[in-house]
Amino acid sequence: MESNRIQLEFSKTLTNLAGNRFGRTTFGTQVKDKFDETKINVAVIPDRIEDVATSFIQGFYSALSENKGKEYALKSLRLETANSQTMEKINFSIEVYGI
Amino acid sequence: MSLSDKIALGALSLSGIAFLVSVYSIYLQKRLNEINLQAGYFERIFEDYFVRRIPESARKLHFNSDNRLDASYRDLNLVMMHMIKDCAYFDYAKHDFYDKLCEMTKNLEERMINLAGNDLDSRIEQVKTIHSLRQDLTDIVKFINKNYMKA
Repeated sequence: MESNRIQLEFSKTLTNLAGNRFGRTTFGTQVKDKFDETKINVAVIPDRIEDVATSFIQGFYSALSENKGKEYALKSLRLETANSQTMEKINFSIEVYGI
Repeated sequence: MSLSDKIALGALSLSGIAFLVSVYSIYLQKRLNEINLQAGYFERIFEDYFVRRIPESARKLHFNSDNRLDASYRDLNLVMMHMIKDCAYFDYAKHDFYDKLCEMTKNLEERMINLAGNDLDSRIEQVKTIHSLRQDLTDIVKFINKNYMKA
């Protein structure tokens, strides 16, 4: 399936992403209007972000999972970063805690 | 009522009491077996974390020269996440306990990540913060132990 890449933007001083509310807001302001149901939506986190908290991830996915279910949310929306350590952390967090 | 009737009634009462006591004993034994089974799981899952992995990773917590929590906090966070993964059995066996444990570890993670992303210039505050993080860890360990006792 084709992908729809959405570059996320954060303040230049921010090096970590944390907080359920912040995750929700980020989805609401940066992803929601660009979300394409016919594609796999890839939200790209800037490389400079060194860590992403589980709370942020869960907040980020919450609107979509509440409306369409967790399985749909994970299939249709992905968080991605070129920072491999951060990417591993995101994947493990979803595996352990779910969304 | 004749004497023999009284004796018969007494014997019947005693039998009834003996029956109730034995039913209760069976219930207690069953409960004890469940507790021993759960306690076994607690020990098997958490022992290495308590004895080795948590203390080793907690020792690494410190503030670096940028006055931020050093990236070594990730080791501790990884240990916490592995612990949650390994105790997933309790998601089914003791759901409230598992949920609360997830919440506590996620809160600790969020705290550490925020500290790693923000400056804390005061050396005194840094020391207090490390102490406070260790207290959060203690609370997690105590919470697990408390549920082990109630297993």
